[in-house]
Amino acid sequence: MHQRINPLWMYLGCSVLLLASAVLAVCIGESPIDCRTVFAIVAAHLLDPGAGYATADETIIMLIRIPRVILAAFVGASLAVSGAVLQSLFRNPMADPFILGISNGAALGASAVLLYGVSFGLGLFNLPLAAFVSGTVTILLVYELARTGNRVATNTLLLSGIAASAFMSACTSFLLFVSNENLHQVIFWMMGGFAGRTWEHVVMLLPFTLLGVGVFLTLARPLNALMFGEESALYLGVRVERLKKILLVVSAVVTGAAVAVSGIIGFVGLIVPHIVRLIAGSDHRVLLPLSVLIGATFLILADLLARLVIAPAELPIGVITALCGAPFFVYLLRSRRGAA
Amino acid sequence: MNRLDVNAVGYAFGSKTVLDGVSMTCAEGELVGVVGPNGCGKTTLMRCMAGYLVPDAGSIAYNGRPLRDLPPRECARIRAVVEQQLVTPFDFSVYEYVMLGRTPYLGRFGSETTEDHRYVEDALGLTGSSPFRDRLIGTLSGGELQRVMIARALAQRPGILLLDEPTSHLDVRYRLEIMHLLRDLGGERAVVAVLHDINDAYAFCDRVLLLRQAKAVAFGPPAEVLTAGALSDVFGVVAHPLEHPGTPAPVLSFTLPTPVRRRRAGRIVVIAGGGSGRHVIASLVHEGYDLRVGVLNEGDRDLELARSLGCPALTEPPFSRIGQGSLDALRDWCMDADAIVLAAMPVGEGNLGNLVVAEELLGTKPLVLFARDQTFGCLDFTGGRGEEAYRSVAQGAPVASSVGELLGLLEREIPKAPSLSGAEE
Amino acid sequence: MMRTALFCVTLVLLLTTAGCLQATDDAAATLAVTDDTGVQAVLSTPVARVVSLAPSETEVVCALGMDALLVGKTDYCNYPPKIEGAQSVGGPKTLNVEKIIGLQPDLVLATTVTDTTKIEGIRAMGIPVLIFRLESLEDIHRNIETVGTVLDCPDAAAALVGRMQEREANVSAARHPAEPAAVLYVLWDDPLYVAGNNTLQDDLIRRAGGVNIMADAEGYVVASDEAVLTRAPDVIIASTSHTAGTAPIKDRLLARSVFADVPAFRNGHIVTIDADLANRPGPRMVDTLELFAACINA
Repeated sequence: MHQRINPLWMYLGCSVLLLASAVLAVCIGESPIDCRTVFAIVAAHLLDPGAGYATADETIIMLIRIPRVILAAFVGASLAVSGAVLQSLFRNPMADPFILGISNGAALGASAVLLYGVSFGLGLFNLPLAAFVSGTVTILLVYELARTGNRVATNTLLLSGIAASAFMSACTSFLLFVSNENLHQVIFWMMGGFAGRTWEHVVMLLPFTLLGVGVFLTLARPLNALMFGEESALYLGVRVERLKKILLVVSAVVTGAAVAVSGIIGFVGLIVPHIVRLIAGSDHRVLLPLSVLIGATFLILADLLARLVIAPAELPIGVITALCGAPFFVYLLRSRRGAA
Repeated sequence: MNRLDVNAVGYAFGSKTVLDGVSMTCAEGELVGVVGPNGCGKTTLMRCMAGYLVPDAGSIAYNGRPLRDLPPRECARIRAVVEQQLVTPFDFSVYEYVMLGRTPYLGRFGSETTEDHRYVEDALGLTGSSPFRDRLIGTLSGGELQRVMIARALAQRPGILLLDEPTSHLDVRYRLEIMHLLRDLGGERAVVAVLHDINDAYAFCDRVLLLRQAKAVAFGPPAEVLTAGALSDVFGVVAHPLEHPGTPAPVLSFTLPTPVRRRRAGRIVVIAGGGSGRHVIASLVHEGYDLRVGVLNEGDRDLELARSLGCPALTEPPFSRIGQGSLDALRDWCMDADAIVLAAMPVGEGNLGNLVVAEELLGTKPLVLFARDQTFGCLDFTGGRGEEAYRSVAQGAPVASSVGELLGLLEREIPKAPSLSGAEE
Repeated sequence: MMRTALFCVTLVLLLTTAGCLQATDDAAATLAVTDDTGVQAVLSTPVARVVSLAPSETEVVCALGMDALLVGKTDYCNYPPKIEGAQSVGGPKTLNVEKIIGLQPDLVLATTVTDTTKIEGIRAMGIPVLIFRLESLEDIHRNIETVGTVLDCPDAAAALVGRMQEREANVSAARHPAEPAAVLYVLWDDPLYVAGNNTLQDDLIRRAGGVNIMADAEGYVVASDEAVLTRAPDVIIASTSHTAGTAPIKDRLLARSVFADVPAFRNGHIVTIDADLANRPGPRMVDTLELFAACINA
């Protein structure tokens, strides 16, 4: 018997979970600030947004922890929802937001900046912009490679993505190899993380995440139809080629923006959609919003762990996402299989 | 009034023409079958009719409106398609899957109305899928899956229903159930199904389109389209129509045509009846003998076989006594033949003449009696005369109890006939 | 992070293997030396051809006046600026083993940062390689003395170490303020990659009378903004890289408004030191120490 929980309860549960992890992540950190102080600070600044940051605690809460938590939530939501969408678009459980080479493309852009001083004269935003541009250009290139006339065959797309990915990765390796200097910077960037992220980064990512999540949520029904193949979707009245184009462009932009502000954080976009499918099924009207919530929660908690495990130092967040996500996923997979 | 019109449709994959001027129609209340050998363009035609492929030539119309003018969403409210198979790596429940059929009616937001749920329930009920409505798609058997796919199509409330080989992977029971379902569905809809099984097309369809190498061979009622000649042309098989007590239409049985390689020569007349000559006729034709079959009543099983193998036969109307004219003709054939085979058959007043002719020719012509055993009594329904005749034939001529033995005897009995077996090997 | 891990792990090894240098006098033609990784190398003396695979080792050899013995160095050995007769054998990642072997060295000098697969390749050809683990000024002294021994110039080595120790003692002896300055050493700003315990810079900060605010982390680590804010460093010393395409590291740090109230930011105590000087564990490290002391006690 196949019985699922009412989605409303799941939304509620996941929202509570998200809120709880956000509160937890704001309250816990390297410097011990008790929860009451945290709430007082947050309340004060909510009531008077223009107030300055008189104490170190205020700076830590308002300028370090909160933007970091929000950024982690945005990135987690963006990657998870893009992953869910691309898995359905390609009908491939192995798909993730980086499947068409956006990560390797972005890494090449970042390496060019970090190793060779390619500059757009934007100071702090040089690196995110370079990563974003090179990432999305890679996807456009892949799309053009796979396009014949007005149609794009998803298999060709997947293969050109793999080819472009490998090519970009080789270019980056070459740059790293011949450069010898600043290597750790590129490595840090590629491992991703939220160290030193500020409100500026949040503002940078905000429109992309909102746009992406918004667009994807309106496409939940056509996405359901697409799960059984493009031909099948067409027979259900879906404009398949247009849908594919929208999904690709939006996921590329959203992922590109996330990568630009946080580097390459693996695993979230691959595993979160599967976790949601296991607990809530494959209906995109439930899958997408839950991926947003769980992706955000997952990355907030992962970042919290990354900050805490070897404090005062930080672990790369990718280590946490894989270390915690993989066993949990395997557990879910096995317990589901036993139940089925 | 729902109808599908396909008018002189042409389609090519690159330089390979897959469809060439194919036309057909399907009106409401009709079940039209599309039949043809693998690679004849059936599925391509289906995809053109469904709007997935755009024909290079000709036109397709739903309810009189050209398909190319219909937006996909509107299209999906008029016609539904059941594809050959359903492939997805993700789990969906049957109910959710069938609800997808409501996609063309639902907006971006907002959930399904009670009406949508009712249509889904109806579709599940109509296809008998309700019992497994909560199961996951991946756990269904082939027959269940096929029903569920049809249910999804029905949830679209289509006036035109297109199905691509809906029974090809199914066990016989499921296959028949699905075919019955399709015929029932035809009531309020125009239904077109690409069919793998010619008998299904014969038995269930109102009209059949027979395709061969991108072209339509014939389109019309099954009995007119699926003739032995057409099937032989298109599929390269010999079709034997067999009357079947359970169905109004005959059941076709298929064999490969006689091998071209002829190993033996010689003209043989087979006297048989009631199925006694079945093995003999088939084997001798396959061996390459030039065969004629002695006087048989219409409807006799041996006669059907002889005809399907292209052997000339002397016939009488059903259940009537063999007339003198036929017996004379039989005698003439026998005199003209290199050998005669008498396949021991049940003998009554009506066909005793056959036996008498054979008995007369003893010693005149090489004759072999083919009988499984020598208990002629149970074959005799004439009160002794038949048995007597069999006994005298059995004394005057060699008896074969198996086909192998018969072939050996014939080779010996036709010494003058040039054997081609040496030339072959 | 790999490097951090490496440093952590190897610290233990360092403590157990320190002082294993032993010259065997009975065999006049050979010299057995155990290096910092515990591997014993047998050299035939006198050593006449040396290849250095690390800028710090190049500096040591030259500081001992043995430039003439140096037949190979890396692309990044930029001090002293010109070394007659020494050919380049590639960069840290692009060491050309064939070329190194072709130079027919009697001895190859390397550090624990050198590519170990390349070292294995060289050792496989029977060429002795000495690997030095350099995480403090003491390590550098030992490195100089060992090189002095194997290159048969122990007096020069002793003199060099003596001069260094004298200057180090001067730094330590200088009058420190009652409240020692909280110091953060930054290698890279995004993420903040800083020196923790058991690093060269940690040693320098201590000797210069400061307190490394990240001393509770092992090796080089990524520090959270929060840690920096909470620990409120009075002085930040950052190394500058030559090729970074972004703005100078000091400007990048100053652009971080989060740190506006950190004393070092508020008082403008952010000092940059050339990366070659700040991060290279050679004889010039004592210059770096004096720079650190000047920054910390300013």
